[in-house]
This record gives sequence, C-alpha cells and structure tokens, in this order.
Amino acid sequence: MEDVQTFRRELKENLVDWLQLMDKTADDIKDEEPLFKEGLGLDSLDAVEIVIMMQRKYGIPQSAVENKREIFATFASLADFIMANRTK
Amino acid sequence: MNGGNDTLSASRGNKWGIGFFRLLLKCGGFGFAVWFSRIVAWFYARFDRKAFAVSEEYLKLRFPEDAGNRRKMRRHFHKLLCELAKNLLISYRMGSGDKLPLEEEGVEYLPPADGSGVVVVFAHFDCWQAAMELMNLKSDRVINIMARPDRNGNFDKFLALHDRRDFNVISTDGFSGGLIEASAALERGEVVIVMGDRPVPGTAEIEADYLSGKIRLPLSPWMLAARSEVPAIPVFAELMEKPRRIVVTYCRPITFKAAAGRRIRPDDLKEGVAEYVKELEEAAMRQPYRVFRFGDEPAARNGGGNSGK
Repeated sequence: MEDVQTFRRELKENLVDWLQLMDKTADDIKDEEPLFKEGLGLDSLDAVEIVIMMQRKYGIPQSAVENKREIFATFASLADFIMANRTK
Repeated sequence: MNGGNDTLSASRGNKWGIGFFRLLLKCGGFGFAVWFSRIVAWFYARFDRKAFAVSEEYLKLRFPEDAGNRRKMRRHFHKLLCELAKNLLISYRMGSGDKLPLEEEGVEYLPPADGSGVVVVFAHFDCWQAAMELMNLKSDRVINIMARPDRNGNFDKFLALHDRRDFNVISTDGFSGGLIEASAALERGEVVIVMGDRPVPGTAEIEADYLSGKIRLPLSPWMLAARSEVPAIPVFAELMEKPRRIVVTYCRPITFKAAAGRRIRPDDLKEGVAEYVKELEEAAMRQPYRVFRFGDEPAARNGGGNSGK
C-alpha cells in the first residue's frame, strides 16, 4: 500500500510541474490550505488543468469529478480522492 | 448569459419597460413598436450617460474618426440603441411563438454527432438570442450552454432564452465557473456554447488587436477547445430582410495544437484568438450598429479582470 506522504509529495510536484507554478515549490503547498482563491490561489482555468492532469496521469475520468467541488477544497481532499480513485 | 454586472440590456430591461413594450407590440404591432422604440432610444441616447459610457468603448473603436466629436458619437449611439430595441422586440416575438424563418450556413463545419465535441462561440451580435431559439446545430447530440443566471428575472422571461428545453445550462456561477462540467461535456462528444467576445469580470482574459484599438476577450472558450482538443466554431446570427429571416453562419473551425504534459498558456491561444477577432471585425464592419458588446463603466475598467498566466 502506497505511503500517503510519499503520494502527496509526488502529487505536489506534479501540480507544480503541470500548472507551471513558477513562484512555488512542492514545499509551499500545504495540505489543509484552500487550493482556490485563497491559499494556493488557483483559478477556474487551473481547475480544468487539474482535472485533465488527473485523467492523464492517474486515469480518473472527467465524469468522476463533475459537480463535486468538495474534492477541490484543499490539497488534502484532492490527494485523498486521487488515491482512492486512481487507475494508473 | 449576459456578461458583466450591469449590461445595458439587463439593467434597462426593468419590469415597467418590458411591460410597456409588450403593450406596444400587442396594440400597435411590430412595425409600430419598432418606430416607437426609436423615440425611446432617442431619450436614452440623449440623457442616459451610463448607457452611453458603456457603449463608447466599442463605438470609438469602430468610428475612430468621430471619437472626438460628442454629437456624432451620440448619433452613432442612437442608431445602436435603435437596433438593440428592434432586436429585443424580435426576441420577444420569438419567445411568444412568432418564429422567424431560419437559415443555417456552414453547417458542414460542425463535427458529426458521433465525432468529437465542439465549442460553439457566440458573440453579442445582432439577433444571437433569437437564433438560439431556433438553431438546429445538428441537434442529434447534447447541447450545453454556459450561462450566468440572469439577475433581472423579468428580462430573462422577456427574452425567453431558457425556454429552450433541449439545452443543458452549465452555470458559470458555480465552482470553476462551469469549466469542469464543460470539459467533461466536450469529452463526451457534446456541444458547448459559450460567449466569446466579452469576459466576465474577475476571470482570465486575453488581449487582441481589434478595429482601431484593442479588445479583451475571455480565455475560457479557447482554453476549453485547446485543452479538450476539439474545434472552436464562431457563430454569427444576422437578421436579413426581404424576406425577413435569421441567417446563422458557422465560421471555419479554429483549432489549437495540443500542449502535452503542461498547462495551456495564453501564447498557445493567440493565433486562434486572432482568427476569431477577424470574424468579429468583419461583423462590425458589415453591421456596425448591431454589435451589442457593452463594456464596463470607466471606473470599473481599472479594477477588473486578470490576464491569463
């Protein structure tokens, strides 16, 4: 069983890389901080990018995240969802 | 569907105004209502400073030679208001069941129903709302429309936009501005309709050369098309006379190169956006008083929007 901390670290690095967060590193992403508006300060276009990243890197179909804003509340909620639903 | 917090048509379409035009149509018919609306438009052109201010941005770009002449600008503004009023009356008639004939040109550009999804990009031009009542879009597939709930409930009824039962409405008020739902719809091979010529305040924008100056456009239609690897098809609806009918033109598809393994950047979209702006310019040159893209008031312009990353 994959270690949660290891997966979260990998996911943070993937987010920084995919979203091209020039002024951020994986260490800057806090587990319980909001992802959007405050905290990491992502916007709606980033939300789509995250969904595409989830599909391409973790095999999670887009239909699985439609209308489920709670997944995107914090980094921790996003990581938990991906861990539970990944097929890659 | 109306972009911005206080668009010209939404804020002026109050209960009494709409009731008055309904009465005009009922008592005097369409021709009389159009004629009378010109008088009403004159008063707005003369005295409504706010309305004039939000129209000036476009009118100055379209008529730069008159930009310094207040009297000429108000004349242009009056003509624009007359066309807007006529447009609203036509939309109301359509909503009441009095449909105009519709012709669709360029339908061959739409992908087949069992093919990829497609982003259909509308502009605030001429009778776009009336066209939505009628257009077919080869509707053997699911059609989604990204729209903001209209704050002026009476105006919403007046236009009867939401009487279209076969459209799913993706609310842009929700989380992600409806983009996640739109992306999922495109993946399923569905149609997503979005307005391409006016950004919602606070959302990502891209700037492009337009007429004699610049225009700010929403990033989301192009980003959706690029990210989902589907074409974006600009659509223009125009009212033609003799015989009176609506002609919906689907333009050549705009496609984007996929960005593998990284987010889409505004630079990836510039070429496609420029193609769209060309279509907007041609529409403005063809029918200058039927461009109903109203800007923000000057005070609001300084604080709104953010550039795409």
